Amino acid sequence: MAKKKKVLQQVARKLIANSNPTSFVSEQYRTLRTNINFSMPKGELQTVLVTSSSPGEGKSTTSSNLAVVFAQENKRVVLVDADMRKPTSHYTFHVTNTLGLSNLLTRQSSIDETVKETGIEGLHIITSGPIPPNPAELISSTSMDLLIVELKKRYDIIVFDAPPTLSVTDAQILSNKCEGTIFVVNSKETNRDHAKKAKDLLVSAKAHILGVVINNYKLSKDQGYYQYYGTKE
Amino acid sequence: MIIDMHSHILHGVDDGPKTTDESIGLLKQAVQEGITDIIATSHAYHQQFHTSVDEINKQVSFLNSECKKLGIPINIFTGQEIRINDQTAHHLMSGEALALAGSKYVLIELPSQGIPAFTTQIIQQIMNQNKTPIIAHPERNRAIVEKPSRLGRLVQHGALAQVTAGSLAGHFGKTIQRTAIQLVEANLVHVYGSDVHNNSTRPFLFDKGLDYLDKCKMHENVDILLENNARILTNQEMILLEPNEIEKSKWWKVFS
Repeated sequence: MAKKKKVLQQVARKLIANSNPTSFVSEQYRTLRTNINFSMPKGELQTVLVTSSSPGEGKSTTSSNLAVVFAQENKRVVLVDADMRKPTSHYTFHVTNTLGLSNLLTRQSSIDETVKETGIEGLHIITSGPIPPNPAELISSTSMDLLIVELKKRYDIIVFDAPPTLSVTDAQILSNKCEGTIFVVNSKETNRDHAKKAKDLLVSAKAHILGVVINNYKLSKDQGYYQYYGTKE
Repeated sequence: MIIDMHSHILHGVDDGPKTTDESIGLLKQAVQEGITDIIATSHAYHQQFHTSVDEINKQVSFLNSECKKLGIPINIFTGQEIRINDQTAHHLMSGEALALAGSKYVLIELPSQGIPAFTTQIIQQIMNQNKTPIIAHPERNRAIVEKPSRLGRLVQHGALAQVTAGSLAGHFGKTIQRTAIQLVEANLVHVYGSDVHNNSTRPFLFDKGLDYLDKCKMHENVDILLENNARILTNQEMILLEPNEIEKSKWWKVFS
């Protein structure tokens, strides 16, 4: 019997909005950006949180691509990796994780030291930093509030990449501090009840849920209209 | 430029070579394996062996001049394989323990039976000094062989890991070879060293290990491992890939 080729479980996270800006997927991220912009007509939306019910639904992918498309709109954007349990943003953007959010929150470093360039114009990043023993306490601390106030002065949009809602409480706390929350649902994997439960948790934390991102949705073949307008397949 | 970042080539200090001639012999062997730069990492703060910083500096400069005299084209750099204890960070701070080739990378060794409870604290303390710990041969640690994801926890805290050439070449047996491959596949090891002690029982096997990786169709990993080795000498940031989940081996996949 022929040996079956092993399929990689986890494909490397890609910044498609940067590497292939004309693709259909990038266009969807741009639609997401437009929807967020219109969801708050007065334009007071500065902090966006991205979370999901359980791990591996596409929070980090969505948040980093969203940050990229916001930066392409000539906004000053900072992506904050608030997942201090399983941080990934430093792998996505190929930066070091020696200084990060956990250092900022414990007042071991200043914002100027911690914010890193990403190589994408207008987009800066704050990685998670060394994993602290008490992420939830750090996020609920007053230094987090102060940090958000300070970042709001410097940037137009702050995108937070949060841990999953059901497993840890971090996302609940943070959603209360943010002006908008985006909920990511994996169209094949996510359990309906889990998604509902997570939504209830966010509502009880008085989060302002802007909407849901359906991830991994498989388009049927005849939806040719949706390819990028003006390009050939 | 091929760099070996883990070797016991200083004589009479640990379980490496006994005499100067043996050391020179090892260096000649290294040149045959294609190695151009080698970091001498003698045991330090180990229960049986401890090599002082002065001794290392003295022997490395002696070997460097000796190689020049004999025409062996290899550069030797200082370093230590530091067995961790609660004083490790303190030793590094005061200069009683050495980083690799004067860079920010520090080679640390775990006991072979398990992972002590204070390991993450030590990693944290070393990182607080703006240094990066590299865990030596995790594939030979019994706790990690049992459950490779244990290394994942340490890597998540910011540590790096070094895979030994001999383990990949099968010198330490099938189990360790399998673990080593698993760790490389999961992107949990970042640098490559020979951990050479002598020419008979613990040889270099530098090429053999890389050949085995090539045989397993992991050419990209070979490139990354060697590039990361080179970055120790230049004290640059390493190429890090996101760790993958390690699949639990299933008994019905014995033949695959």
